[in-house]
Order: sequence, then C-alpha cells, then structure tokens
Amino acid sequence: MDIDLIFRIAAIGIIVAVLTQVLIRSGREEQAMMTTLAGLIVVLGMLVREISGLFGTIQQLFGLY
Amino acid sequence: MEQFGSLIAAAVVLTVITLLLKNWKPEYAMLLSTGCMVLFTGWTVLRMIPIFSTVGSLAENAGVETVYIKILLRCLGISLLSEIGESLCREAGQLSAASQISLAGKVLILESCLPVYRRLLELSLSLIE
Repeated sequence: MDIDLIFRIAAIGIIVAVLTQVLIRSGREEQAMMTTLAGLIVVLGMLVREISGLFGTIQQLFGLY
Repeated sequence: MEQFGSLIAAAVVLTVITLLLKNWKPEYAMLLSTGCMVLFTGWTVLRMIPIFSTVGSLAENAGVETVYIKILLRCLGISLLSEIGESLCREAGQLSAASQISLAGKVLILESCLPVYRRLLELSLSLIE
C-alpha cells in the first residue's frame, strides 16, 4: 500500500509504450504485441495482489465475510 | 494530516501520467487508475479502523444493540465495495457493467437490512395494540 507501486506501474506502462513503438517502426509487429501482453501480465500480477489485500481488509473491517 | 496533502499531490501526478498513457496504451491508463484507487482506498480504510472501534464503544455505552451497528457497518462496506467497482467500470467506459454492479450493491444492502424492517414492523404493531 505504498506509493512506489503506482509509480512502478506507470514506469512499466511508459517503457512498454516506447518499446512497442520502436518494435513497430522496425517492422516486428508480433514482438510488439508480445511485449504489450507481457507488460500487461506483470502489472496485473502486481495489482491483483494489492487489490486482494485491500478487499481482505475491507471485508475484515466491515464484517462482510 | 500532512500525508493527505502528499496523497493529493501524488493523485495529480498520477492523473497526468494516466493522460499521457491514454493515447499510447489505454489499458495501462486503466491499470494506473486502478492502482491509484487501491492506494487511496487503502489509506482511507486503514484510517477507518480506530474510528469504527470508537463508534462501537460509543454505541455500547449508549445502549444501542450491537446487531444494528453490525448491519450498519455491513451496509457501509457493501456500498464502499460497489462504489469502487462501479467507478472503475464507468471510468473504463463499461457503463452497463457499472450499472449492474450498483444494482447488485443495492440488492445486497436491501437483503442485509431485512431484519431491521421486520423488527420495526413488530415494534410499530406492538405500539398499536
């Protein structure tokens, strides 16, 4: 629940965006799509862990279980 | 309180980055806003914990039955969760999913409040007799 997680997501997004542009310009569309997919999976992995922690806290706090 | 200021500043920075990412990679903009939401909701929820313990103790001193406080907190939690899901779907453009989530939240709140209605009805009927 700290802020560098969010900036890490932003950094991955920007890197993947630039990388795909470079790959597309050099004619490798498939690798560009693969890179986007890989970046997406990495970011989703990090985010899902945080979201499950948040929802666990909310459920435990509000007694929703 | 000073954390609040830095959180607002972080929100503005993240919004700018999200706009930047929106025209290159829209899916990362969505993920970034989700991360931003998780950060703020987590911060808020962590600050709610002492508030709820004091509210609980105040309710006991005032003689209010804890069943109702539990139902109240349950409705609050359901509305918070459905608000999170709805705002994320709406921001991503999925208006139909957003409205379904809010509908489900309303039904769940109604379902958890039924005992209160029954108790209210019994109370009013006993007053009439």
